[in-house]
Amino acid sequence: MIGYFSLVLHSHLPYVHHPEHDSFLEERWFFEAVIESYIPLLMTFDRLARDGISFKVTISLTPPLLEMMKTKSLQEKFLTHVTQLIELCDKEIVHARTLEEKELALFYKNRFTQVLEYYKSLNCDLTSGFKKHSLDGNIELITCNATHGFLPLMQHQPVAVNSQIKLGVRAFQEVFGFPPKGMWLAECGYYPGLDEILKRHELRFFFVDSHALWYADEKPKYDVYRPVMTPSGVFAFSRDPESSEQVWSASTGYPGDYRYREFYRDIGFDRDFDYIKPYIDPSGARVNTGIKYYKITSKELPLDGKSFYNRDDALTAAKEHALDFLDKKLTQIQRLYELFDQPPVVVAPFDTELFGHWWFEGPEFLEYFFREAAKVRSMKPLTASEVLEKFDSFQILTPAASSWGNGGYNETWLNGRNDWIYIHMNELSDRMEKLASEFKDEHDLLKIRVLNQMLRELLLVQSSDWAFIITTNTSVEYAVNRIKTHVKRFLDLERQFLSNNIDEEYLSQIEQMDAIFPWIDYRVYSR
Amino acid sequence: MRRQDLFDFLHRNPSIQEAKALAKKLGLKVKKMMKKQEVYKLISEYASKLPEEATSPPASAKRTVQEINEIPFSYGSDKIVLLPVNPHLVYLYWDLSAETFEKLSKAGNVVVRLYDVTFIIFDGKNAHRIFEAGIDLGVCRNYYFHVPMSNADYIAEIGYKNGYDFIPLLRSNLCKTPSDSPSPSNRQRWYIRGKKYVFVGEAFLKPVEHIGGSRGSSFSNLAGDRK
Repeated sequence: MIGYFSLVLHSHLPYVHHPEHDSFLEERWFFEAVIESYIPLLMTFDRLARDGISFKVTISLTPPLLEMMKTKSLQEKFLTHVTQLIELCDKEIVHARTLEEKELALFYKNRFTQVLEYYKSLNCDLTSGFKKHSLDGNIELITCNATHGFLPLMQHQPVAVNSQIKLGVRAFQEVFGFPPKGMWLAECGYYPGLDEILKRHELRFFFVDSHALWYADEKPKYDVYRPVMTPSGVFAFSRDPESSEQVWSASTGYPGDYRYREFYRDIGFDRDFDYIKPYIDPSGARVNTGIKYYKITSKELPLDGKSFYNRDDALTAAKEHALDFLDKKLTQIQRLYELFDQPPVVVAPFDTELFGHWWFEGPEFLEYFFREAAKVRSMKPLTASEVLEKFDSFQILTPAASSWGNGGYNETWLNGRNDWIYIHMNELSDRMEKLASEFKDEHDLLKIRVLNQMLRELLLVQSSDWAFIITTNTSVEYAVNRIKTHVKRFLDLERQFLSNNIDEEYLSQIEQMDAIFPWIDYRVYSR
Repeated sequence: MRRQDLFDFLHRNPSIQEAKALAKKLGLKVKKMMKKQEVYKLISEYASKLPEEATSPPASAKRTVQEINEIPFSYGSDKIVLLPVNPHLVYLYWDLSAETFEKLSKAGNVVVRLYDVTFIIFDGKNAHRIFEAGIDLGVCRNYYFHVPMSNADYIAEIGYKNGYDFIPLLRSNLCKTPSDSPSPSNRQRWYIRGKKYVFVGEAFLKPVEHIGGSRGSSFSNLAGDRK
């Protein structure tokens, strides 16, 4: 054995829950991720486990995602959604204009049917699928801070940070029945001192981007290839830049291969409006259905110039890339081992949704990778906790403030487009702290409900997704509305609370809509 | 356009061309020689005169959960908050009470100051460096300071100038900018499992899985202690 490889998948979606509508556009984010990433990955894990392959993955499931996976109404909507997709496949099979189209329509029908059956086999509870593999020891499940708030921009409000961490741990414990050993900090957002709060909540490790170690207060002897310990005794794993580049890079990364499926050409945009209408957004807005017939072909070609997708060719590409990646890891590890005279640890973190959703063949790539890696003796895949057991000395460092966002710091979440958010977020947080402290001993159940709901609204405002969406200019209107909605609800509730004029009907209504963390206790925010 | 729309527009720091175009659309007298801040001021003054109406949400918001009324423009909280953007940029915003706003408006010559307070306990006068920017309260509610030094501590204040004197009214939180370069320190500290002390010095390492041919540590006495 000369080195270790640690794959980390960060799974997150913002809490999107609109029980007041039968169908809601942004709820599709969740459905797409389930169909294309979470279930295919679970199926991959099942196959590897069945064949006795030890695949080792550290997986963070964020609290909003866990909550959505557990929500009855979303589970029901998901069943309807997949059933409709199967129905659409049937129509596609009938209407197919070419043999290729027909074959692909059949492929999708088969695939959606399998997804549906798999989902039902888990009693519609995806968390149970992940839990099973975690109990088998192949995956290590970790949590994230409560609503994926970007902590470096909350550091002036320690109560806000503490609550994000504490509730993140609790949310995980509620679902899985055991505490998480580690935490994925939203967007790898770290600042010196945060480790103390992680320690307080008995977290053993977290992840940072490479420059957090490069620019740490003391030089890391083994670069980013060995976890370090912070002064408060929590371990930090740092991202290997080479792995990210090989897999992620838009220009040279694997997902850009011409044989892979083209993400942006979807029948939701191609078909006649009247035909596709029942399967897109009820407003008439065209959206992705997930049925895509074309391959990337060439990045220079316009979308209408693409060739048909060939599943066998795509799987061949995935296998070639998996072998190439393994080869690169072995070479890298050999090089580092010679350099350090010590076994290196290569940490490769990615967004889970890269595998399957953005890169359709990503789950197969991982499957091939682990199958081949199992045959190799010089490199061992390990989960984060297992890595920590492999060494008995660790350099003590304070990692530098950093994130894995564009530029490496905070500018994705704080810039001229989204800086207006912070006056609201900070003000609400200060008010919550004041009220929670003042009414720490409140016994009136209705008032307690109001304070708890105010905290939910605040946590939902803190979600880093809104600032991110505004920066990336994707669903800006929705993000802006979500911020305004939660701010308004918080202020409405606060007004009612302070004037002792609580509208219970209104409260019940928003409790049902912003239903995250049913067990929440506002006292987490008290001094 | 509504009052809020105009403030939102200014808040986005539009270019002078955009600002002039809007001002013309509103029927305001725009002179060719006007500077950006002057056009901003013109629009801001116009907006201030508009009534604060309760407005219906934009048509595009219909799909959302409920009707979103505008959220407050200000909380009157008398706060000034400083946040790090990156090693060389900090963001400052202020939310003034009516009283403070009035005090500043009356005094005129409003400025925000940024103090480099790295490694010191700031007493209001001992900053390493002071950066200052004049502010038009009518149009400006925040400010981005470019800062020369990374990994430094900053504090901001808002106040006004009285001759050469600066009279601060509000002070911000402390804000540390991220580091953007490797540490010059050559110190190494190591945690060794099972030991109660921190080992300072060159790495003392021994993997749990033994590897043939790896060199022994120079700290053999410590190695001898370990089981």
